[in-house]
Amino acid sequence: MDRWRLIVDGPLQGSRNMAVDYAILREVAAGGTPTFRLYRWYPPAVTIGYFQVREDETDAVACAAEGIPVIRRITGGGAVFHDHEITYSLAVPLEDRRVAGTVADSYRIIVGPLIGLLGDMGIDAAFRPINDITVEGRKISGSAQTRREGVLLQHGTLLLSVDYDRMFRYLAVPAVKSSGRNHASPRQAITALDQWISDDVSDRSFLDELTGRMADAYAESLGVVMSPGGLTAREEEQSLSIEEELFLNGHWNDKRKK
Amino acid sequence: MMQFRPVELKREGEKLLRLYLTLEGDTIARVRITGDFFVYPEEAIETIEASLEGMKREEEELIRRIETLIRSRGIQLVGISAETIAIAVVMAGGG
Repeated sequence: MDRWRLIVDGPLQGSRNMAVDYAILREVAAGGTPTFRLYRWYPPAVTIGYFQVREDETDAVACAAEGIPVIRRITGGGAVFHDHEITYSLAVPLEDRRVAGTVADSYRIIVGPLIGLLGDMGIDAAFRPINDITVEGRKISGSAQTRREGVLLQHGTLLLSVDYDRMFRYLAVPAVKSSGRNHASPRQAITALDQWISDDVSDRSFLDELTGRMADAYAESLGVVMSPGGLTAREEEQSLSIEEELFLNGHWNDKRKK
Repeated sequence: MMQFRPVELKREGEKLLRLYLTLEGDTIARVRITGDFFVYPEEAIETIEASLEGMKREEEELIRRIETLIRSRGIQLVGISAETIAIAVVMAGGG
């Protein structure tokens, strides 16, 4: 059975999280081990999709006033307020037949284990194409995928709890999108794990157990063995320069500005 | 040069497109295609934008131009389409 690397990170700064994912992508491109990573965010941050414009997606004044960085990802998709969540990322060569295929197929395959795990927890979660997981029609997880340098990188969220007031203080919700899904309010559009289970989602042992179960779910479903590990020295170095050049850099973050 | 207010377009089964358009006379001077869709490779969005410069706002022509580019360069659009971009370009200029 193939052996993949499992990296479990504690809460990190947003620019750091995005840089580590990119550094792993490059390592896999250079022949490194496919990697499944689980991580969290502190301080909270907003990320926007590759094709989005910071000032369109966020309230720049509120974000600046409250110290919330707004970072443009290397993946497409929408704006996300990352606070109390577990994020996964998966980096595998594009020729890996377990996950690759068409973009639409691979989204479905890669979120599959997460849907299965939620099901095991008694939560009736469903895939909503293109890239979301919903519970009773409300989004609990969103994913975004890039394919570059011969590698598929997908990262996605699992919301543990959600502070709606903060989320919608920082994110602008386009009228056309919110009306398109027939939701009266963002509260009805988004949900989180704590609304469906009685466990304390902030509890350290709960989080440890959940990350373990996520890793197991992916290992089992994809038929691989996950070997706990960390970044290589080269990845550490790469991640620092990527963070500097891209995610801490206004030129990158505002690239799509009109 | 005339820069128009962005057009937001969310078609069934697609993501949100927010398109910025600048015209010079009746010719496209600049297009910015933004939103929460996916394009593979991502950098190809700039190729698509550049390919529309100098064109007129004629929906069929725009679709053909983008579709040709997609095929010749192996670009994949997910959650957005050539047709949606073309419709938005026409809408943005008040068509």
